[in-house]
Amino acid sequence: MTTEKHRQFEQEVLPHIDGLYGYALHLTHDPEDASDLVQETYARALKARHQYTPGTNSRAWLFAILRNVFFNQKRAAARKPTVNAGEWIDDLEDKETFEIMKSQFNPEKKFLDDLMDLEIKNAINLLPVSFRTAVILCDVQGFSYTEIGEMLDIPIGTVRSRIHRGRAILRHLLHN
Amino acid sequence: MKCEEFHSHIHDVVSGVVLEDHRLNQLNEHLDECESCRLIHEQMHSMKASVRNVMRVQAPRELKSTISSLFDADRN
Repeated sequence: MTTEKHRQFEQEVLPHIDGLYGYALHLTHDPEDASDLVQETYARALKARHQYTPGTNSRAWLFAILRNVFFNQKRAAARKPTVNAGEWIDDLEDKETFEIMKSQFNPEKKFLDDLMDLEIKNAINLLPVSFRTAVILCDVQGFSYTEIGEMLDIPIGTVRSRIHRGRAILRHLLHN
Repeated sequence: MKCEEFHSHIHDVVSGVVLEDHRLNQLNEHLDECESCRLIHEQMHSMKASVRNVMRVQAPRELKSTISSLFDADRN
């Protein structure tokens, strides 16, 4: 691979670190594990960069790698003794790295105070995991139904249904 | 368009799915006529923006630096 191609590859894949980290947090619920997962994702992407066509959908490609790494690790971990799930949930609340990017708030949304943030996070966590994943990939990460379907290996109709039902539950929890 | 049909399309609109012009016109006409669907429409857009704001995080600086190092090492 030429120097120019190296540079182009870097320019296309590096801007997605924040999005990948957010998705890794959703999967792992642990900031350190999320960092490790994103780091491993980029290490794999570097090794597999010859499979990547410049100018194509680098974000979807990276998210697919991240999901593969995560589920492979999960399968491997399933063969070992596991930690108490409650521990990492408590730990997560204390981690500075899970701080919300307050600076990203739209000024018109100032009514969203800390309490509202917490309510939204709690409501999202109450969703069944398959709905939560679809809603996060669509509403937080901005993927299309087609991209989500390819990533999760499910039909577009199923993606649509999970997003619709997930949002309907969220609306019920947040507005009732 | 009836409310039930509107509900089946509103999520696609919120998701940014491009609808056919005639369908979009029907949805807009219904929005003009139906206050309860207008409220749902507003709530859906507002909820999506809120979820996005609350769930969006920034990767730690150390992670960004480690990944940069990965690329630097690979380049050299």
